[in-house]
Amino acid sequence: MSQLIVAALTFLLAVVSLLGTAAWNRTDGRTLILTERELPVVVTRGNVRGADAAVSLRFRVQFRSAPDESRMWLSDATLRQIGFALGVPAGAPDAAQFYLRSLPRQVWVAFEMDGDAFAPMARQLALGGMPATRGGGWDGLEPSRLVPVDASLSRDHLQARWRERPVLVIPAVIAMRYEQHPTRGPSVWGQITTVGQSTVQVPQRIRQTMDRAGWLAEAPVTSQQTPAAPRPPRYDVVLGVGRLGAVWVDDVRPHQPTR
Amino acid sequence: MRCGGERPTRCSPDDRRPRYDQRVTSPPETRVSPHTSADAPHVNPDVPSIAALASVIGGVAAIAAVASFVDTTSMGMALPAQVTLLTAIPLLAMVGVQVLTDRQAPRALASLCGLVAVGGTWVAVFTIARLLDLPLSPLLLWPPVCVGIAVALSYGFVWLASTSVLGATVAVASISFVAAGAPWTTVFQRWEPLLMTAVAWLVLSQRLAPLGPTWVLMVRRTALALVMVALLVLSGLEGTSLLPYAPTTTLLLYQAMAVLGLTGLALWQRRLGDRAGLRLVGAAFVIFLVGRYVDWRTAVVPAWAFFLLVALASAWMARRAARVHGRPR
Repeated sequence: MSQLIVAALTFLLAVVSLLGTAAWNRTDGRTLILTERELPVVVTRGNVRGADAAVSLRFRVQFRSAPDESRMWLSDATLRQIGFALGVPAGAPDAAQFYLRSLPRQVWVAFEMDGDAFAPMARQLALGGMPATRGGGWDGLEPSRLVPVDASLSRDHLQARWRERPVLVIPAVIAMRYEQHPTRGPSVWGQITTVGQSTVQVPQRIRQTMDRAGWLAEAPVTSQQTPAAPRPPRYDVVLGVGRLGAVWVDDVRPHQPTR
Repeated sequence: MRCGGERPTRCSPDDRRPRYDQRVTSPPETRVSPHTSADAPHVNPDVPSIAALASVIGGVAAIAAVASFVDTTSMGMALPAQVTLLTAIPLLAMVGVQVLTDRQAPRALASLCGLVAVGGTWVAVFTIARLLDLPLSPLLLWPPVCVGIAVALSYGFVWLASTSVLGATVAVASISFVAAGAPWTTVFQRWEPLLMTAVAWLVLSQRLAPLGPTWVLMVRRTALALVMVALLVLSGLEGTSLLPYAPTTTLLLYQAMAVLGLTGLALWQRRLGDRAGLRLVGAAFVIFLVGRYVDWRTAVVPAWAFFLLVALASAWMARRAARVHGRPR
């Protein structure tokens, strides 16, 4: 029996550590209100619907990955500060190899919710264009208003700098990109490749609320809607952000339009 | 006489006949001991390999059943119930291992239960982390690795220890990337840390003699397989290395290293008398040669000259080996 105890205690210790870490993460939480645009529902088991379904919300953000868009928030100074080497000019013969070989970095990224950074995208939307949204194909929703605005190795640094703004500071992976454009020439820039926590679990009590409200089902398509006319969000999500930067769903309620 | 927990009726004189591996690595008194394997067909002669294979397949299927059950059925439950369920499954499997061992049931059954215990631990740790919205980190690899080693060492399940060695290799190798500020999953994109850790296991395997010859063999062969996979990837795929050279230069460097490394490993395995290890290295060499035949990159040596050189070297080695042993191999 003593042989069994070592393995069992190791496992139990791991489970307790996970529970403790999650509890400690939530002891100092900040909240931010997002909408269905930023956190659409993912039902992971396609044939299971309703309160018994495995439901999570998937992060849907603007990646700002085009070179000129990216440089607006990921300047050379920021890229150096988060650990990238930029010593080789983009026009140098070995630049492509140098930048494609550089390792991606796991850093903290501040995403601003419906702030100044989204304004140009909103104008583009008003003119009939659609800013590119990564994290899924066309899902009929309005574009996400969660826009990356800053990156740093220190979470505290970002939180202090963006204290007055509705920002979500979470881990993300940034990689260097190199492109030899036929007209504009060689170009080097940084780009978000993945958001650290791509989905958030929906607790059982909130899952039941969402099921009763009909938010777990596909949104009905009205006769006026076409693929060019995205539908507005149906719900708001109160998202908690803890000490470790891990997020959780605090509440989900009917959408209150702000603009 | 009992055969490592197997029913006495299944022990034929053939089953008890020591195999090559044991002849060269263990003294006769260690052939049937609490630390010999129940689930390694090449190492333990006491368990028929069909039973070992069935226990591995059954264990993997049971783990898939557990993961699928948790994924589909438990989602309607509250978090405490989900965590309790996920915790209970591996614990029950561990109790099952102990009960089966105490009742002297066929060890293949106990091995199956052990596989479910360790696999259930992997499922539980990662699922609980996901349910609690904790980010996936390489730290999550350590609890299942430790549980796997504890269960394997306690009950003599070699395959389980082998998977734990693989998990530990990934966990150790990922430290270098985390320390450098890169995501830990880069360990599967740049292979040098995995290669270095596997080489460290190879060296360490020689120090594991107190655990028994079976464990030395298990760690050495697992590390050997890892080293060869890493060498094949580094010598065959662009962009998998950390070296600051042009991709073609890096590939050529690793191809030279693969030839030297595989030759060295083959000679080492021959000196140790590990025929299975030697076959493993031989298989890796064949895969390497096929890869070079399909994708020949250097202009320094023509392909035909390289392959002719390898063929002549192999012929010379075969002739020399035949002369040493006094008969053709």
